[in-house]
Amino acid sequence: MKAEHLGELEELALLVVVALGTDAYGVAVQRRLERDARRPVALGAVYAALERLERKRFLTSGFGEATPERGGRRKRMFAATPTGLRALRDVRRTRERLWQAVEAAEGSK
Amino acid sequence: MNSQLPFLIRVALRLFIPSSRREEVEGDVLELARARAALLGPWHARRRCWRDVVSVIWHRGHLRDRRALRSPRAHASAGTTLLNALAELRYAARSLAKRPGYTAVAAFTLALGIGSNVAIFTILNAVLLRPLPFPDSERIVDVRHHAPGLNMPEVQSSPGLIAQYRVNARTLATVAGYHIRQFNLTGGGAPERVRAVVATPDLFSVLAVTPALGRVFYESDAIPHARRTTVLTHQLWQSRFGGDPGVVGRTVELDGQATEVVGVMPRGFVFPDPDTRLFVPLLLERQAAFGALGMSSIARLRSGVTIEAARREIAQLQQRIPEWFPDITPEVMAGFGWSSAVERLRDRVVANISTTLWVLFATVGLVLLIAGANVANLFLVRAESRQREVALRCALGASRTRVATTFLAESLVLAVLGGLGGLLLAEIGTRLLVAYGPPRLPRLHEVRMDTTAFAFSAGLSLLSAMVLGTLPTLTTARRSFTALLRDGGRGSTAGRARHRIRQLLIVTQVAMAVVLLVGSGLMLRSVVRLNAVDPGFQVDGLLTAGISLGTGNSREQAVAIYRRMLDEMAGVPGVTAVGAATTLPVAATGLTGSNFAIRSRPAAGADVALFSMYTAVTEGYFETLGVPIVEGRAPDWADTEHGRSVAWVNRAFARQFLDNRAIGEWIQIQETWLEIVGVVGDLKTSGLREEARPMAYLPLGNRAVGLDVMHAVIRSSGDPAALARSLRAAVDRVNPSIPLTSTRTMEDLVSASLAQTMFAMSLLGLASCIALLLGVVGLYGVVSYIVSQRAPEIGVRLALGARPLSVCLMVVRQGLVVAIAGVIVGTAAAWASMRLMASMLFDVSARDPATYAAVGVLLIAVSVCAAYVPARRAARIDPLVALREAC
Repeated sequence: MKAEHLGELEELALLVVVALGTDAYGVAVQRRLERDARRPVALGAVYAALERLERKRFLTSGFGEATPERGGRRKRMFAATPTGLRALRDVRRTRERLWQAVEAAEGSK
Repeated sequence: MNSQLPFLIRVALRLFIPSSRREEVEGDVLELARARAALLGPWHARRRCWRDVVSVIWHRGHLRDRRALRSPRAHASAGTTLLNALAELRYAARSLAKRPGYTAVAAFTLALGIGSNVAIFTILNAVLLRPLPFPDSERIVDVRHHAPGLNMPEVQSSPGLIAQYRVNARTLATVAGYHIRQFNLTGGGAPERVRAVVATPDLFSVLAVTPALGRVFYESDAIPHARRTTVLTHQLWQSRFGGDPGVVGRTVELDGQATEVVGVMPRGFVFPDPDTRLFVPLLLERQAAFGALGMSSIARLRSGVTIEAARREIAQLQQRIPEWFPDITPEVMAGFGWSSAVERLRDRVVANISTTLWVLFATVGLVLLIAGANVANLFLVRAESRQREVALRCALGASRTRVATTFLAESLVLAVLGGLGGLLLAEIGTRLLVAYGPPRLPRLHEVRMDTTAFAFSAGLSLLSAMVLGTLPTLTTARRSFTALLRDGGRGSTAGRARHRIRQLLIVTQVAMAVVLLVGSGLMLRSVVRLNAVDPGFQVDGLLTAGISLGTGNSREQAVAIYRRMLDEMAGVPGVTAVGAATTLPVAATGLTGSNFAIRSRPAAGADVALFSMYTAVTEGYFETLGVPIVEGRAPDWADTEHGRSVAWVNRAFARQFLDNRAIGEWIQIQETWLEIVGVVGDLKTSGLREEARPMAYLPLGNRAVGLDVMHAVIRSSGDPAALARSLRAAVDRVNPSIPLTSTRTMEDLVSASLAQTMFAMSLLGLASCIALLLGVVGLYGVVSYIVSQRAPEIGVRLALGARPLSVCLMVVRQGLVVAIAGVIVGTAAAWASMRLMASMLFDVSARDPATYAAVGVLLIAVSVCAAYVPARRAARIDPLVALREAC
């Protein structure tokens, strides 16, 4: 189904949300993306990716706590849904299959 | 940024982010901002913060309003309308980016139009519209007089009149008089020739300016035998005294007289033009005699008094002149054609240039319209190709407004691009205009791009966006989508209505091109005529140089020094002839004029104003210039050295006053009786445009003419410009402390006198070339488009046996009809509007039939060429291909 396709940034964002566990919100996701994926990502792009993931039902969200450094504003916390986790695993499996094929091809050379 | 986001960021988020999502977004942005402020410092943090906000807004299409998800018919708030608009803008930017060619052409065309307008507007605004940089400057007026009977270029005012106005004019709070003269400035540096304003002390109170250092003049500085004082301009203070604050109280020498510096004017103070270097007090006695004309007077209106009231009062005061000055009877005044004029100083300063600038402004306005019409055409064609898309969107439920917004957004993006490009072009254009514009353009030093210019270009951009954007809406959005779907499909020709609009645009374009071409054609003819004017002497190979001796020599000494210098100059290799006079032809400065009497006709003075300009000349002057001696003999040194009472007059003088029999007549100029011993050819005295004025020439040394400055004319066989150095050396052999000023070729002087006309002509020419080009491109585009639309039909015709030639003619005719309509409309418009230009023309009628005919023929010829290219294409259409594509 087309809606289940994962874009590259979406895939990374989803992975980051899973990795962050209970602390996954906009700024945290952006920071982790910049740190681990080594690429500068605009806040807006992060929002867009998270929003798309949520629309594809790979993520759910709800308000979290408000901290003083946010001027008392609440965070939107994200969590991966079982569908999201399955989609990640699918992607990983696909990649692994493909890598095996690549390695097989290189080995036979 | 400690507990709150900056105001503007909050506003931006409030506008663009749906309220249900705002809390989290604001929280995230603030958290990021704080973390960065600790890391990067406030400035970078703030910049990055804006980048976050912009990125969020840019991607906010994904930030669905959560309530909207729940209730699909949520009401549209101002925020969501803006969101829609933003989405459209983004879409427009993307679709334009996909067609870089179209975008570049459209944006560049608009930039050309907007840029030229902003450039001319910048100058117009600085020169004509902005008030002079004096407090309450609208109350400063220039008081002058006209006396056409005097044959003097500028009558201005006189010391006696100024003294009387001071006492009698109730509408004027203060009246000041001034004139311009040159001084030799010595002391504290190399000798320097400086331009000074000799002014009554109250000049500064009329202008209401205070000095940056020291004081301005007191009344006591302007009494006889007072200690000599001067006030410096900021410019001279910087260039000669290095901005030394201790300059006040120092003594300099002006023409050899010790003079105390009492003050320095502030930077930016310019009066009456940037060439002024210092001010010297002018003595004006309370009961002054009428005195010499040529003194300027400015005044400050009493508060609450209108300029009309001042005009009326000054006009009435003219009737009291015979009472104030008994030697000027009402009959003499009537002979002069005496009248007075009171104008705002600003209008006076810019009087010469104002018509030119307004005409140029109108010109670039037309260029913008033509450019706009071209872009509109491109835009319409593009809108047409999007018919199906529009029809589909309508069918899927997009509202008309939404569809119109799409077009508006695209035109807005184009116009903003055009506006930005225009600002760039305007910046370049303004610099070029300032650098290469006429050197005597007043207030040029005040020209710069300012917020008004920015606002003006923003306004132009918005206006063009609105016009462009609504055009396709007018033609397409009105129709029902079923019609659009049917019509927008393949196989039918485009609707007639849209053709009509496009043809109308072309007619307008051609018409405006005609107006501009007629304007520049008339200017071109004026310049040709001006260049053909015989200045009365041979311009080529002449060099001129000012020699300023200053005062302080006796008459005999001065004459001897001048003679030695001219002799030295004559000895320079390559020099064939040398002479000197107190004023130069064409660019006359310091002309003097006076009443005179004729011995044989004592009664002539009563009804004819006997008034002539005069100048002193040396041996060789007429010969060097190449002015023919019509009758009698030429001047020689013996006339000067023996103080002979002789004079020469020009033909105009002989014709006007002496019935062409001048030789042997005696005239009296400034108390001296002189015998006319020669008649010389007429010279243009101040500019090529005017008729020759009566002119008398006296031998150098005559008491009527001052000796402080002379202008040498040198004819040489080689390049005159290369001669300047050897001339300087020749002068140095006589006295190295005498400045040799403004060494220029006569050609320079003549072309400087034509500068303004040439300036107007080149700009008009440039504008009309652009107009012609744009018009032709537009015509070509429309005819090509019609051909491409009619390809199936033409294919059918060709298949049924139409000859290619007749197809070709048919298409050309279609273009021609549009062009002819344009030429007719344009000619009518030019006919009606060209008289505005009349004052800029020379010896050419504003309704010169030849120019109109030439322009009409040119445009029709060019239009035929523009239509011929697509017509050939039409004639070569392969019927099979055309029909296959159509079906």
